Amino acid sequence: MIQTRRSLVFLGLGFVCLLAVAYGVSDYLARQWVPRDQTGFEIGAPFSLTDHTGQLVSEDIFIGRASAVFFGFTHCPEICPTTLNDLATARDELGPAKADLQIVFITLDPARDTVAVLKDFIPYFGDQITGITGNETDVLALAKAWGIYWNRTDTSDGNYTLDHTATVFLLNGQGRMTGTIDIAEPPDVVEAKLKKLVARL
Amino acid sequence: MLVLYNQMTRVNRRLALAFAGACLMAFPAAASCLDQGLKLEHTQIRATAPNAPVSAGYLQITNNTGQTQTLISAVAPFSQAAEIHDMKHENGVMKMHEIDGGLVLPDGLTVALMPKGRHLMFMGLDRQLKDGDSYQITLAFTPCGKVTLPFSVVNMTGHKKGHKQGHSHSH
Repeated sequence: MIQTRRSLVFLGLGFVCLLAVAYGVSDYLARQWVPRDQTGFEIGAPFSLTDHTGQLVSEDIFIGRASAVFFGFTHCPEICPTTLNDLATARDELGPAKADLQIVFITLDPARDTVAVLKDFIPYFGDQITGITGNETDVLALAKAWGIYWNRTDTSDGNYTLDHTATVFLLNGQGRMTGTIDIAEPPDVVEAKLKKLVARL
Repeated sequence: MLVLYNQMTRVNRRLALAFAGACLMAFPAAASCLDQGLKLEHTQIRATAPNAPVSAGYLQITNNTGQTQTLISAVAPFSQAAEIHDMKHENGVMKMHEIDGGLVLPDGLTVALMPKGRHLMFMGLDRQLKDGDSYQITLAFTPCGKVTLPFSVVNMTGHKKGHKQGHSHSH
């Protein structure tokens, strides 16, 4: 009876010690592996695709300056051009700091949005905008890695449009996500968010 | 007495027919929607990037015709097809779909088609739509009929706030 109670106490103490050690180790590892000055969240995945000028582009595009990232398609009558316009217009309000912010448009329709198509489409909305396309599998894998939703809807002329996530992702100079812009937000809110983003670079 | 009455009726009938004919001549069918009290304002089309396959049209419709009207179709000289679209914004996802049976316009109300909302979607563009251009677009309503009116192409990539989009008009 006494022996059982003693072994129970030891077992309990052992468990507490184990917890303490586990906590210590995980705390140590967390401090080691996450530098304190790093803000934001990791998002997306490494990729090797093509930009609208035909150049290879990778996740390195997000390093060194802030980015506003948007997924869309050129057969989009409304939200994609509106979003690109809104972003370009808000960026112009940044004044000289505008050079610190790029806009990145990643297609969800690589079958139709070839490099040639993006080459016409992207520069129309302003400078410092990069369009990204490429092999269908790779492009869509990237969209999935960003948590993008899309769904095809057929139109009466035999073509299709896409319902899709319209969130704009805001990335800092390390390519980490620090915020988002929602399509419903008014222009002054969008401007304030972009200002904050470049001010923290 | 009876004969006279019948003759008068016949004359009245003839007069009525002639009057109706004159009315039809004076008011061509194309203008009937507007005459009945349909008001179409701020007709705009989004300017497009070179070779862009699609664009969107916007307008504000006020229905004072005394009955419900339905916008059922749009025909533009620059596009193969057009649809009337609604948009839904759910959990960050923008969903766009054709409005089945057309856009219902209740009597006495104003309905706006504007950026980020309901719009005319023009598909299969045969040319770039440039700021400052104007196109005659035919809208069909039931029951009042068809209206053809100019839509101006507006550059919505403007760098100044205020002059870029149709929905900035106040009413």
